[in-house]
Amino acid sequence: MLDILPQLLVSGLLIGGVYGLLSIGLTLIFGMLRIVNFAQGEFIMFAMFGAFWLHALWGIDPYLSIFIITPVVFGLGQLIERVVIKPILHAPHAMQIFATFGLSVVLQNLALTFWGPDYRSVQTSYTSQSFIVGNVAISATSLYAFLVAFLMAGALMAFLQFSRDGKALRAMVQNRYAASLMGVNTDRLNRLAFGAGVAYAAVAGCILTPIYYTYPTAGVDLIITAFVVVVLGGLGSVAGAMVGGLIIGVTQTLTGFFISVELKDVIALVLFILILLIRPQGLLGRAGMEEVGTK
Amino acid sequence: MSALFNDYYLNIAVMTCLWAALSGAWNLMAGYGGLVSLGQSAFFGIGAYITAIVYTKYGLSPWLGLIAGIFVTTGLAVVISWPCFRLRGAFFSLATLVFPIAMEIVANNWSDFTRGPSGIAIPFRPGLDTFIFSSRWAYLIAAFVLMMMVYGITRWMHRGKLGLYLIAVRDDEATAASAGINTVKVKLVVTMISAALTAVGGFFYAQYILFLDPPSVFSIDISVQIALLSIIGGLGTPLGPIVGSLVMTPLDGVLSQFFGGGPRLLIYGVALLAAVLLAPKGIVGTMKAWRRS
Amino acid sequence: MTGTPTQAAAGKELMRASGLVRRFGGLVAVNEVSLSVATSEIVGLIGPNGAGKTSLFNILSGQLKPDSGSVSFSGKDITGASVTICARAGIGRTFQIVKPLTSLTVHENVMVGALLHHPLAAARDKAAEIVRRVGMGPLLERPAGSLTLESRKRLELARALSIEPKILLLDEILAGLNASEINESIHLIRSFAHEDGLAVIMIEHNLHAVMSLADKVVVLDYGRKIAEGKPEAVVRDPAVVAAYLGSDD
Ligand SMILES: Nc1ncnc2c1ncn2[C@@H]1O[C@H](COP(=O)(O)OP(=O)(O)OP(=O)(O)O)[C@@H](O)[C@H]1O
Ligand SMILES: [Mg+2]
Repeated sequence: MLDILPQLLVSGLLIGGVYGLLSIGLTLIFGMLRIVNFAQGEFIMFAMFGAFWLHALWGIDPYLSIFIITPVVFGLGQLIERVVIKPILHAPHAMQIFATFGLSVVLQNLALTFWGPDYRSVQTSYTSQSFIVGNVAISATSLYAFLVAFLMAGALMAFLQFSRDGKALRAMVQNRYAASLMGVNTDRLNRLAFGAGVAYAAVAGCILTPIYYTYPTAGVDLIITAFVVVVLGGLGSVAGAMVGGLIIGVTQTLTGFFISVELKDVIALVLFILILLIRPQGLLGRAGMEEVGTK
Repeated sequence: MSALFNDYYLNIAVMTCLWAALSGAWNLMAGYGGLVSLGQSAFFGIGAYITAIVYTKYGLSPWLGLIAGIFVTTGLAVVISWPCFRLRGAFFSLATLVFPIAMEIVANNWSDFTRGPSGIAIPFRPGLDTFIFSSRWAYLIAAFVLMMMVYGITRWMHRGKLGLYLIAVRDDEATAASAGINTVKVKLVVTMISAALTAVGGFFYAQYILFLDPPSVFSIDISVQIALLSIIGGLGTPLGPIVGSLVMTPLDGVLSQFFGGGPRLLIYGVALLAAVLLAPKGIVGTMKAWRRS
Repeated sequence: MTGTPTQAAAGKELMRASGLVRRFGGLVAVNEVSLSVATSEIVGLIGPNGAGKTSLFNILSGQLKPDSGSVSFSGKDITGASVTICARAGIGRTFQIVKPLTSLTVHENVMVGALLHHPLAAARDKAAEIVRRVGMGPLLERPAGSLTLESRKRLELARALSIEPKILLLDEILAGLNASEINESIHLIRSFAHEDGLAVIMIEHNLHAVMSLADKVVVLDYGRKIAEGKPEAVVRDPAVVAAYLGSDD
């Protein structure tokens, strides 16, 4: 039983990296805009459909479609920020919650209307390929997903650390009012942050297409995991999202194998509630962040 | 033919009252107390399931199920929401989202009681003791009474002591506490009232539809629908949920005749977005604002 | 009742704080502060920005738990008690960053507190009376969300009074008022102490107001109490002068 442990750990870590990537966009949007984007999963799902159709119609590889879909979703995100997010930035919580919730219902059912409820999958030459290291098998698609996830996380952290806009975004997180006084254009940054947040969802969607099924409610199933990850890692923290992703990935894989597959989800939910109650700022979130975010 | 026709409209009327009552119960929490629960279907489903289990498995009167359902849901409301009160705004909503999901897992797996995914069919034995009626008129009267009960409670609360306290807690918890309000107690009381009323709705649903399975009562769609009606009608007003349901439930009846799930829910989503963005005060609130100006 | 401040200060002790400490990370916001106030007494609490005045209020009113030290009120130990319990015991406070209940009217804002001791109808009358007393009569039915900052400050005062407190903790309620409004408020605050017998601790940057009102002044700097005594004596204290001159930001 124990010789399977390395295999489980590796699988858990690999899927955990993807969970991390799923969650980065959510955490970014929350960190910058103080909005919990309940529609984040639908952006992932739309990207998955995009990658699916690009592959089905023109044979474009899902990894290549990242470069087509991400900019499209980035633009779409900026538009949606203008129409849906901007008007509710200072609205009561109920309105903020139901604006993104409404968006999620709309996007989900657009997909259902156009493409039906079927589960689809993309078959590529490397779909069932895997590398054997020692007695551990590493599936190629999971490995690629894992690598892309960490690359993207690193890129975002570097962007926030070093670029002009990144610094302005961080200043805005610290103090919105002061940032606007210092001539930071908060409107433009909000748009940028939301666009980038959903663009990350798009990348996640593309790399998931070879691993996961594509269907209209895929986003709902994924977003629950992403919420757990983000709350664990600390809302607003990119590094936290990756660490949280890895922890959840490993936990789920282990409980799925040693206990039961059904319990896998329950464990995640229990973890979710426990973290919210015991350490609402998450592992890497700043204390008080949840206060700012929730008042 | 005319009876069928009649039944169709009666059903819409019954559902309009039921949804207004459920949404009104949510409005107490979310509209007045700012506790935007996304987990109302947990209370609804438990109310429905306990009624059905008490009646079909133990052969007891569903009225007993109703009482048991009220006790269990209010008790559960205390246990699960007390810790969640430490969370504010969207965090509270996120946490409440989990409970119906957990309940659905329980209902799917605890087959001895719930019959799992295949659901429970309730035998049709009309009578007041079983709360099953051959005429939809009887259901309509009952649903109307339930709706008016929720409305009455909301009216009584509205700008009364509890209502003022709830609004105070919603607007600013620190200010509310500094006025001597026990904020946790206030939130707990309204959650218990809301849970109990929602469980009554579940009881009604079980004895009206006569069939339940986990997705039909625990689905997140139910929680969304409950919220949607109040938001469209006017959050935090006694009449809002009723107006919302009067507009949306018949519309939904018409829509579901012409469209399948996708387009129908699409229209729902658009309605929700439009309400939030264009008329955040809802129909009642917007009309009030008009009359004032 | 036109007693001089010194006579009024002879009331019996109502609140006593001893050795209060509160840290935020590495920063010691309140450091070994002790303080006492009697009924009908007005204590001025002054100090440069960031001295820890609001933090001290937060401890006295239950908002913050002290890391060490104790607070007693009406002879009972209330160290670490919640805001609700402190309010019910009779501690009324205003917030420096005003916190009105924005979706309620001025009247309802005050009623919320008045309901602590009165049933609905009586609370309504009581609240209206308090609103008029702080000079907001004409604004009674205005939504609190639409008030000017000046009116919001007054509303803070009315809310603090609404629970019929034994002590008032006033956090910079004069900031931003013009000269005649300040004079009105000075009379009002004096009447709370001398007519109603309330104990008052007021944080104030306006030294003129402090000098004319306070029976006793306490000075904080970097969380520490650096002086305490009669207003005239305290403002001549070299340590106080240095604290103010040294930190003119
Ligand atoms: N919740 C908190 N978390 C961290 N630091 C805090 C917190 N509250 C206050 N501080 C810090 O404690 C110190 C004292 O703050 P406080 O608000 O008590 O000062 P103050 O004397 O009221 O100043 P002012 O005259 O500007 O109102 C400041 O350095 C402040 O930044
Ligand atoms: Mg201060």
